[in-house]
Amino acid sequence: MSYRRTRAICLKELRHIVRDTRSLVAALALPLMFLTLFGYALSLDVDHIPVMVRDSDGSAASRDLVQQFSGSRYFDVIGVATSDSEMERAIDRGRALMAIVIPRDYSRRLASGRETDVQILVDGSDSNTAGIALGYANTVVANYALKLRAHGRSTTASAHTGSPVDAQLRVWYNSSLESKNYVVPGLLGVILMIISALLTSLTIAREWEMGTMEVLLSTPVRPGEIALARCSPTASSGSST
Amino acid sequence: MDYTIEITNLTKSFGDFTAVDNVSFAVKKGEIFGYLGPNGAGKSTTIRVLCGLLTPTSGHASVVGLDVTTHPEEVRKQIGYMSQKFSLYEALTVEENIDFFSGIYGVPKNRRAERKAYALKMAGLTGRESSPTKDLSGGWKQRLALGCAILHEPPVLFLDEPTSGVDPIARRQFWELIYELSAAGQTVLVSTHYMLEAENCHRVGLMYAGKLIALGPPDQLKNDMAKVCQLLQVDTSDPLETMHALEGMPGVLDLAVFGAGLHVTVVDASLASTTIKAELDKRGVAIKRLEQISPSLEDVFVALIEAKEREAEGKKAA
Repeated sequence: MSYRRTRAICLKELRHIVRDTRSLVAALALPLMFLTLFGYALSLDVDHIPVMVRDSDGSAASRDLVQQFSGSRYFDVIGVATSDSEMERAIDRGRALMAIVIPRDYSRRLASGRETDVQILVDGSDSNTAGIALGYANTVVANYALKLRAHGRSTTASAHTGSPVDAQLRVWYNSSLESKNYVVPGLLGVILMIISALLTSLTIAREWEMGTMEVLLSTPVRPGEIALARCSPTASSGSST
Repeated sequence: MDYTIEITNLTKSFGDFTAVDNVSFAVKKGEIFGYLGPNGAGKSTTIRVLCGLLTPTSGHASVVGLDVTTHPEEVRKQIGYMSQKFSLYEALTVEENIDFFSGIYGVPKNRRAERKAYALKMAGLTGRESSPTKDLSGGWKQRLALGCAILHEPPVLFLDEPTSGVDPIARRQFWELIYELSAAGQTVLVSTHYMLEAENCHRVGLMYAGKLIALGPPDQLKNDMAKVCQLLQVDTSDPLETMHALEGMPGVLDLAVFGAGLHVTVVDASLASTTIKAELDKRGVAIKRLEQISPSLEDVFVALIEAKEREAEGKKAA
């Protein structure tokens, strides 16, 4: 490995990138394009889940339950289905990811203090999102149930509400838990790798095309030196953007 | 004898195709060796083997006593190579190109300025260091490429059709540079298909279909030809009619149009002159000139290649 030879190729490669508008655009614009694309399009956050409601009860109690969903930032209630087939269609078409089915005797059973079931339907084709959505729905319903029970008690006797131990959550560093905040810095490394490999192969292809590669190979330069000297300027120009 | 380039029984095949077929020759120090032949005869392949760019299928090739297959790295320090294609970086300026090659050839720091000045002077580009290389005309580019190939003062130079596409004056200047290098003791192997250029070489080798079919100084090759056949220049009032008249005539081996006249290859010049004269008189064609001429290298090669082709056809027929 000769420092001088590597430096000579490195210098030449830098000049080539700066002078050739095409490779300059590729070196500067491509990483930016990738970043904005990934930054905006690649999001692992699950929120604003479209929910269809099938409320067969139509009472104040059932509307109160739906209210819990529409009030959360994780769910958007997109409509109330008047029939089962309408609800199914909404999920089939992908308009809704989830449906809440409230049975006919919902308010009656609640009032009589019996256990009541509410059906949650989820489109599981994206299993990851479906799992997270189910978790949210569970939490919403569980909280609501807790509130109902507390409410019932307070009317009878004790003012003691909720469970005896409560976890107070606080997230540090990425308090809004946005996936963008951790995906993008990691992507920088990936993009750098893609760009430097891409540009390096482009310049090598160009050398073969122009016939200069043959001359380069007939000189004392070693293949390793060519590879190293070519990657470093493209990598540095990519990282500078 | 001290040979700088030695090739023994070199063969290089690509699949079924044999580009170089059992070729042997040696080049002395300071010699200008012309490597001639039609396109696809195997000239570039031989040079690329000598530069260590290709591995020979069989046989040996050595440069300054180093085998090119076992010591390619050492060999590359000893050679300068100019390829058929333009071998400089067009996006760089004249000076940047020189600096780049100076760097990759590992020219010592204290010699760099001197070598750069020499290359610039040689290419006639002193004062134009910062012009972009792509703006130079063909002749300048070739001379700059040569200048870059000799920055590290290699004892051996390989020039693969260095003057193709260059005008005659630039070609002349280029050859003056080659003479200078040869006088300074550098060995030059130059491939070309310009026969006029071949006359400039100390020794030539003619390649045809991968085989070396002639080897020697240009004058010797011409004399060898004179032993088997002679050349007549025939200028007449009607060249076309003359061709018809001479075709197939006994003692006439070959006919070729040269300018306004014909070059006729015959077995015996004086004998043929009489019969040609008689035949043309009979047909009423006026003879302007009919005399024996000494063959050019081009005539020698055309005769040699046609003889080979006839031989190949004969084999096929049999």
